[in-house]
Amino acid sequence: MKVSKDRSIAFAWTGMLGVAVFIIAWLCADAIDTAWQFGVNTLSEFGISDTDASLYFNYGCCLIAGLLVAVFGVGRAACGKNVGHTAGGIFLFLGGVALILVGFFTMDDDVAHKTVAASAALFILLSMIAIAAGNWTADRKIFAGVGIVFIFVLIAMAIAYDLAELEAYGIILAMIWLLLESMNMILSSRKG
Amino acid sequence: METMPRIVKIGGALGFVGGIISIVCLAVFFEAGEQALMVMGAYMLIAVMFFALAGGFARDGRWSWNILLLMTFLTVGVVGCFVVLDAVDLYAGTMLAVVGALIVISLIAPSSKTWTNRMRL
Repeated sequence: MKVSKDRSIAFAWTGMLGVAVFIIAWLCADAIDTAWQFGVNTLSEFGISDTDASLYFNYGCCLIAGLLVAVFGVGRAACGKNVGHTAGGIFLFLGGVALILVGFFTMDDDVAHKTVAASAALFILLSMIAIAAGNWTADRKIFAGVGIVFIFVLIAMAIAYDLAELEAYGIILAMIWLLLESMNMILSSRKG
Repeated sequence: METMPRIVKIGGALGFVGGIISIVCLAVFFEAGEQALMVMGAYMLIAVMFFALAGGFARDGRWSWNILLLMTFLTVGVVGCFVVLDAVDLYAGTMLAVVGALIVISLIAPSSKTWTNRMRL
């Protein structure tokens, strides 16, 4: 599919906006729910908090950020230069949809919550792998290389850390990667 | 015989520096215990990867520019992996990652790309 340069840049900005919304909502939720501790409690615990932190998490971190990530995924697939980009975009879209569902199925609904949360993480990891391959083929080697390093570190985290730590650090890494990928899309569209 | 560009020499030298730092760190951070084998293995693997990178810069090397760049990123990835797994000290890992990043910078120079692609077996 042929996408205009402006539209490609607009899609890239939705990725950056998604990250910004997630960070702001996370910080607000953390400020409201003082019992929550980084690396000790999982982010999902915000979703069942007695305070307004649950609103910030369920609507900000999951619904709005997930929607923006899903739109970015559609853009990544549409503006892709090869199969890797297209597959990565589709995985990112699915990851965004799963993130939206995390906001609906909170920890009260244990099985559904675990399923959608694990799916979101898995789809985003798969999109990182696919987009790294796509960037390598499309001669965006530095972005691909940084993606490879992130994938290695994430896999090591999955082995070494417990769930709360893995989730917190993993999300930070994924957000940095999303920002880099958005930047890559903007730079690629300028290059033509 | 074509002279080797300075940036390629620097890249090769950085590979050796990374390998030597890794071996020195192995001696400094080694502690006999349950994790000793993992720590030894981690530093030795990183040293081998850095020395291999240094060899990749040599005249008539076997790796093309693409492979050399991929191996550099893999080396930095392995360093990150072992830092997270607590087999490599954080400061040593940071130092090795910086050396890896400098090798990447030396590789993306245009003269480095041309030379490493031409002077292959």
